[in-house]
Parts: sequence; C-alpha cells; structure tokens
Amino acid sequence: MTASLPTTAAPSRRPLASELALVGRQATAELKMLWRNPARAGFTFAFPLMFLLIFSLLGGSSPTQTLDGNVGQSTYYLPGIVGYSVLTACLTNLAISLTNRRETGILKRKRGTPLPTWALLAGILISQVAIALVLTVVTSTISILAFDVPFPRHVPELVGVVLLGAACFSALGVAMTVVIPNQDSAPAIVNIVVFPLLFLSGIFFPINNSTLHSISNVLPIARLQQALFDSYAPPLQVGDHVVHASGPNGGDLLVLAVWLAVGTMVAVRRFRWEPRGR
Amino acid sequence: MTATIEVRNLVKSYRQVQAVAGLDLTVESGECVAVLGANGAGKTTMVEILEGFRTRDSGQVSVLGVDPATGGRALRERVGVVLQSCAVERYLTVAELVRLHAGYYPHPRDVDEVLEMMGLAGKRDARVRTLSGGQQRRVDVALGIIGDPDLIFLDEPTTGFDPSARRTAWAMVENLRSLGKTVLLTTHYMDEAQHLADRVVVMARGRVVAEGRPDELGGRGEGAARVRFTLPDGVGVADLPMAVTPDGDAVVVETDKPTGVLHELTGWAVARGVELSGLTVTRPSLEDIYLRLTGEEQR
Repeated sequence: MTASLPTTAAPSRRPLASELALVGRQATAELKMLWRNPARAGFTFAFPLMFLLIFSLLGGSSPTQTLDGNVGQSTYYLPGIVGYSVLTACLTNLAISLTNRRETGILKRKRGTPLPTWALLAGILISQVAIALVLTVVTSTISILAFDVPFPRHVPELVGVVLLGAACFSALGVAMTVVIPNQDSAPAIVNIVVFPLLFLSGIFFPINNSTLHSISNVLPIARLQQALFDSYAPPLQVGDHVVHASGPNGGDLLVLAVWLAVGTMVAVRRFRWEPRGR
Repeated sequence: MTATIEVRNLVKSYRQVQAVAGLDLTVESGECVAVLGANGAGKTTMVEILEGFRTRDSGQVSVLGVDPATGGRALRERVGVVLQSCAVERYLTVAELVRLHAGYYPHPRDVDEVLEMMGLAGKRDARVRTLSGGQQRRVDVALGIIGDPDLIFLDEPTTGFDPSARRTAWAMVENLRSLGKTVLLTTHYMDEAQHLADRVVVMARGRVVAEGRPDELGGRGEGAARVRFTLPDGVGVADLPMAVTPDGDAVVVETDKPTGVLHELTGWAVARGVELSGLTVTRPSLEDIYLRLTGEEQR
C-alpha cells in the first residue's frame, strides 16, 4: 500500500458547558445506580448511622481521654464516624463496584464509546463526594440534636477536609482495584485493608499508645480523623482549661495529599479496563 | 476516497501464539461484511484492534481514515461497538441507559426511535436487570447504534438469541444497511452471513483464507453440483447410463454440467419406466465451503 495513513482525527470543538453537563449526567447516573442497589446503598448509608448510634448511646457524655485532652464521648466519635463514612462511601464502595464493572465487561463497553476516561472517573468521584457530604450533614445533625455535640467551629475547613478525604480515598479505591483479581475476592481483600485501617485510626477508640500512634500517623485514615476533629474543634478539657483546635493542621492535610498523589499515580499507571487473562 | 476499513499485513501475538498473522482486509463504505471463523481463528482480536481496544504488533490499519490506536474520542464518536459479551449497567432503566449513552455523542439518534427499532419500546421503563438475556443483548445493540455511527462493529451479535430474536436483529442490521451504514460483523452462523452480508471473509489461523459474495465463496457459484437419487428396485449401478458413486442408500453424480446429466438420466428413466425417487440437485452450502476451507487450512 502506498497511501500514507493519517494518524489522528480532527478534534471536534467541545464547549465547556456541554462537557460539564456530560459529567453531571454521569454523576447522576452513578447516584441512581448506587441508590437502587439495596446492598450498596445499605452498606454505604446504614453502617455509618448504625455505628454513630451504637457508640453515642453506649458512651453518652462520659469523657474520653485523648492525647490532647478530655472530650465528651459522643463529641469524640462524630468526626470518626464522618471519617468512616468517607472511607466506606469512597474506598470500599469504589473498589468493589469498579472491580465488578471491570469483570463483567461494563468498563470495556464504556471504553468503546466516546465518553472520555476523565469524565467517567469525574462522574464517579463527584457522586462519591456528594454521598460523603450528605453523610457528614446527616451524622452531624443527629449528633448535634440528639447527643448534645457542639456545632462545628470551622465549617468551610470541615467541608474542605471532607472533599480532600473523599478525593484521597477515591484514588486509593481505584488503586486497590489493581490488586483485586476478580469480583469474588473483592469484598474480602477490601475488608482486610479497611478493618486494620479503622482500628488503627482512632475512629472507634483513641490511640494512646505511642507505638500504635506512630504507625497510625503515616496512614491516611488517622490523619483524616484528626483533621476532621480539629475542624469540629469541640471543647477539650486540659487540666483546668478548656481549649479549642484552631482548625485542621497542615501536617495532617499534607499526609492526605501525599496518599492522594500515590493513589492517583497507581490508578493512572496500572488501572485495568478488562478482566485479567484476555 | 479511502475505504472505510483498510488493513494491511496485520500481525498480533499473545506471548507465543500468533492470533493474527499477516491479515489483509478492505471494507468499502456502505458494505456489510461478515467475518466467519472457528473459535481461535483471530476474529475477535482483529475486530478489537479495529475498535481500538488492542494495539497491534505490526501492519497498517485505517478505520474511517484514521488509525484506531490513536483515533481517540473523535473516532469513537463515529463508530458503534457491540462486544461479544453483553455488558450493560443493571440498575438503570432501559430508557435511562440509552439516554445516558446518547449524551456521549454529538449527534445521537432519537432514543424512542432506537428503542422501537430494537423492539424495546414496551420495556423502556423496566430496569435492565429485570430483562431476559436476549432483551439485555438488544439493549447492548441499542447502545451500539444510538450515536448514529457511520461504521458499526457487531461481534457475534446474535449468539444465544432465540430464532425470533435473531430475525429481529437481522431486520435491525438490514435497517442499518439501508441507511448507508458500514457494518462489520463476526458470526458462527452461516445462515446469518448468507442473509446479511454483501461479502463473506473466512478466517483461519489469523489469516483470511477466502473471501467473496456469499453465493460465490470458494467457487460455490460454478463449483460441482451434486445430482443425488435412490436406485430403483431391480436396477444395478451397471445399468445406469453414467458412472455414479454410492452415498449411503443413494448414489451421487458430481458434475459441472447438471442440465445435461439430468436430461440424460431422466430420459433413461422414462424410457425404462422407472422412478428416480429422492432426486435432488444441490450446490455445496456455505457451510460445506466453510468447513472445506477451514479444514484444508488445519491440515
């Protein structure tokens, strides 16, 4: 053949508004699919609410000792439950549902359409962030109204930390699909990672052991919990004084940002669209 | 103007196995081409390279004038893909899913019109997971054509369909052809290729071993006809006016001049006052040709 082949198609013009509408429709579809799948919806919404109620009712307002000072137990748990909500809504949910979609060929089918990868992932990310924000509002409202937890002192920072946490755990969720071989093993592998993370995080009980503390300090979930706690900034009893955190500290946010970068890098480099062995 | 699909000397290996081994293929605009071949003949690998899912080891490939490996979104806006295995989101309704996909394309077809065409109008508000396997497959095909593509890849589109669903799918493909779309389909079914395709391409061991019109493939048009009948009672092979070969209970004459043979044979029978029961004249079926071609290749 002598005719040379052109290697690229002429790009058609795509106005930003229509690209945003595309992402919006994708995110809406994601939320519908989650909401209509009873197992996924239940896992995502019911578990955090269940944990919130159990821990708050068990502990009541008896004080909990942290490294920084004493705080009411319900007040202590709320940021942790919000962190847990972000973890399940993003990492657990995404790792399992993306693996399912990969193994059943849905991802490959999507790849055969003009929907760009970034739009597919942005739609998923936005839907996860929306769920994380809704869970933050619902758990906070319940805690404030029913368990005497003080209103958060740094609301914009709180929203910012939830967004950063959701982005971080979404990236880690996509990255996890790389090591999950098939949909049968997805829940087991995800839980093996998630449960130690949770118990080392300070979500269910404060970490007052310095060895565990230094381990949990490099993990994203403890940092998220701390950043959330400092955004709620409840009154801390330190000796005779009552102090408040002045908002999330830079170190915690930096660790989250590093995990976000690591997760994104692994996700972008190693993500598979198709089942293995094809 | 270049052809819609042009493939020259395409090669693709998986580890030691050469799935596609120097394949050439041209599909002109508006043509419907069926690719036949056994499992492992390289059909799906070839189609997935054309679809942009796989990279090639070597060779030249052009789809709608661009290289599918780098064509990206602009190319995918003009191509419809229906994969071998059905994969659609299960928790959306039929209309929601088709509308979602319509939004991926710059100039999609009307959603209701496509649902009508695929026989899914009555199921438009049903969740995909509640549909039968055949209905889900039709949703899959609907997603392949909703973008009003110029070129459609159908990888074994009717495998697992019941006969009436296959007829519906065939009518859909004919409808696409009447709109001037180019269709490349792979299939195991000879009748499907015969019914739908302008041209049949037979693949074996990663190469094209024959191609042609369904009624001419492999010399089918002018090849030997088989005149077959049962010997009348009391008549031996030696009594016949020509040489025959036994074939089960009957005998067969292979000839490229069936008219003369029939004339001689029936004249002889009438003169003798005997009946040639079970008399038939057949051309080899597409299936016979296909088995011969792929069988030769395997020896």
